[in-house]
Amino acid sequence: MAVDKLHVVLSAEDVRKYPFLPEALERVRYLGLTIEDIAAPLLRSVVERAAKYLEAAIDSLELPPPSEDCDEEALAYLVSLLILKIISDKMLIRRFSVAFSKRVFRLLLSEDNSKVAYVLSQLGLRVKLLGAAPSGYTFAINVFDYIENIPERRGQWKLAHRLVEAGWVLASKVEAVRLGEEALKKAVEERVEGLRVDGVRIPDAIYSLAEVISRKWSIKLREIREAWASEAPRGGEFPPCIRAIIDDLKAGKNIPHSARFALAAFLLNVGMSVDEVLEVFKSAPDFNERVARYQVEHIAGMRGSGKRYSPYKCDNMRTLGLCVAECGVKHPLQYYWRSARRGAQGGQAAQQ
Amino acid sequence: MGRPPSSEVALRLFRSYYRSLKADEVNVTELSRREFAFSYFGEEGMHRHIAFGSTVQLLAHLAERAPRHAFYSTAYYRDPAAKNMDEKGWEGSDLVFDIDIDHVETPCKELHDRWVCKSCGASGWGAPLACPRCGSESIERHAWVCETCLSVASDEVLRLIELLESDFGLSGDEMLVTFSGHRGFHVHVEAPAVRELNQDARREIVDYIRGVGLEPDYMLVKARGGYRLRAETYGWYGRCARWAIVKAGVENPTLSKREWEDLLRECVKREAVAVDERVTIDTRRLIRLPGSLHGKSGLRVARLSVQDLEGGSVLDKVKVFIGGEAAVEFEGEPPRRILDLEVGYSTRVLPLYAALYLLLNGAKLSKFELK
Repeated sequence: MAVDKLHVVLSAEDVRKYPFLPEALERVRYLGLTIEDIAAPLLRSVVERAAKYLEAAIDSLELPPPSEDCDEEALAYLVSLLILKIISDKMLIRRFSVAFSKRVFRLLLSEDNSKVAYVLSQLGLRVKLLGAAPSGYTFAINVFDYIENIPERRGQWKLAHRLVEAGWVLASKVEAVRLGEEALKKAVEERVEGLRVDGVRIPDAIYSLAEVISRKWSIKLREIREAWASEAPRGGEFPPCIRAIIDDLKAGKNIPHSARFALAAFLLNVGMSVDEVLEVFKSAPDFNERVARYQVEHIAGMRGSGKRYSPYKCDNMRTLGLCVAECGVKHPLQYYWRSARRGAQGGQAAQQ
Repeated sequence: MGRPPSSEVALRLFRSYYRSLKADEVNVTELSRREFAFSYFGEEGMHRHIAFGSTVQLLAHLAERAPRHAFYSTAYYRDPAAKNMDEKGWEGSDLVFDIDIDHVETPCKELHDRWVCKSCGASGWGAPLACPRCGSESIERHAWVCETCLSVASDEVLRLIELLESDFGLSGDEMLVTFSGHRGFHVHVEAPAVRELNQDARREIVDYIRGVGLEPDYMLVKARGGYRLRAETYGWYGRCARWAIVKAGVENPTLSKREWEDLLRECVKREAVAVDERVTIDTRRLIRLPGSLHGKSGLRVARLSVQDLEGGSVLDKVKVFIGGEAAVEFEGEPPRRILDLEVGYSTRVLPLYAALYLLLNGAKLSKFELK
């Protein structure tokens, strides 16, 4: 099915709100500014604004509203990306993309449908506007674009729960905008990744800002890490899926390869040694120490690519038919850490 | 005369097949961006990370080495011959579905599949999940295929194609359907729209096709005296609505939550397609090369049309050595039915394709002679 061309006239106001659109880039190009010009004292407001965005992303994930001046906004957006590229910290880039996309989500919600559809199409989503749809839905999203951008792989977002026909998924305006937010997150990250700064002389004003941001980020990162460390688990509880696999093993059942992988990867990730894991597998009816050791060592990252494997997340466990309960986590390890944390907190309370 | 090493006979036959194989029987799009892998008669292990610049080169290799098994990657790589994944440079992957007879209920397993319990030693016909005598799940199976299995699995493939067309908007000419060479079928979707899909997105497609995670809470709205479907036309809603008519006898019925749950379960059981999720989710999979022979069956990984699947002519497309015959003698009890033939302990002569299948798939033969 062909997607209708959308005719939308963008104003300076739109560029201000959506500085990632090609029209914004076009405008910046038209201004003909060099990177030195942007860093010059005359345009200090641009660099200051970029600083504000990056700091806000680090502090609270909540960006201040866009500038009143559309050129300043478009430039500040680009300077933010440039600084992210200079720092090149994946987690920081992700943090900014999340914060920025969240702001766009709120702005887009108050636009009319055709503008929403236009912005989405610029983010690579194939979108159709449905006039007076009998279903009450006003958007149709290409099914492959839909599944690549759903925020959660469960509940109302699960494709099987959607109205799907001939390659299109019906969506409400809020849902369509939410899909756009996800697509934008990825687009921002890709844009940063795609920037080339080798051989470009970066003006001092931008470099020193990058340093300030980088320092601020490392302080924040230390805080985050310390928070994690203080919650380090001691003997968490195994989730029902893992317990079920162990029970099957103990009962002498012949469990599928996927279950063996899930179990071995889980046990290794909660700190068991290869020998301890092998001990668990000994009750398998077809246990072969040599083969099992080779496989467990592979999963532990001691062989092959040297990559240590994570156990499957819950979505995968469900698909593989290994999920046995609804325990409100997204990853079996999350269940373990949570219960360990609860245990640790309980222990502390008892000591006090 | 004693039994010759099975690999010699098979190698000779495979070589004769590969020497006359035509380029248009190997359906590999963008061949130079794919990785190939082979295993050869009389050798252990698999040779991976092989690339070819053209179909002609691939055919030359097949004719020269006559591999026992031949695979190619569903993925496209920048450098398919590179030894590790990072260097290969993944550039997308076809969306592939695998329908395996093992995952489809068929009535004929009693006729050809054998099992032996590794715990208590009991044995018998069929494909039980656990030993009927001691309950152990540690069971060794020896499975065979016949026309009936293939026909049941063909129906499954047809339903998959229909679902991909009606719900995902894909067209038949974007799909390559092949016999897997032994126990199932592969459907390759090669449309550019799917190549870049990540594993999460592919899992969403598999879950949809298998009806995994369908929950009535998301599909129903409250109505006077119970619940109704939110919609009756699209996707799983349409399928449920059709089942609701069958079950309740009226269109758009109002039923209790419990009744809907039962109906949904029934609907998924009948309408979902039993694809192997691991194959579809894997974006770096090696899969049987179309046009090649399967080393455990001697059957061809043939390209199939919807007509082949509908008309039950799958076997005609996949049998290769239909000309000759072979003299055989069984050591133990043979499967009672294989492919399109009934077999018994007293069977002495078989068409070559059937004899080769028995040989390659490990039937106990005290005699195997080409006639």
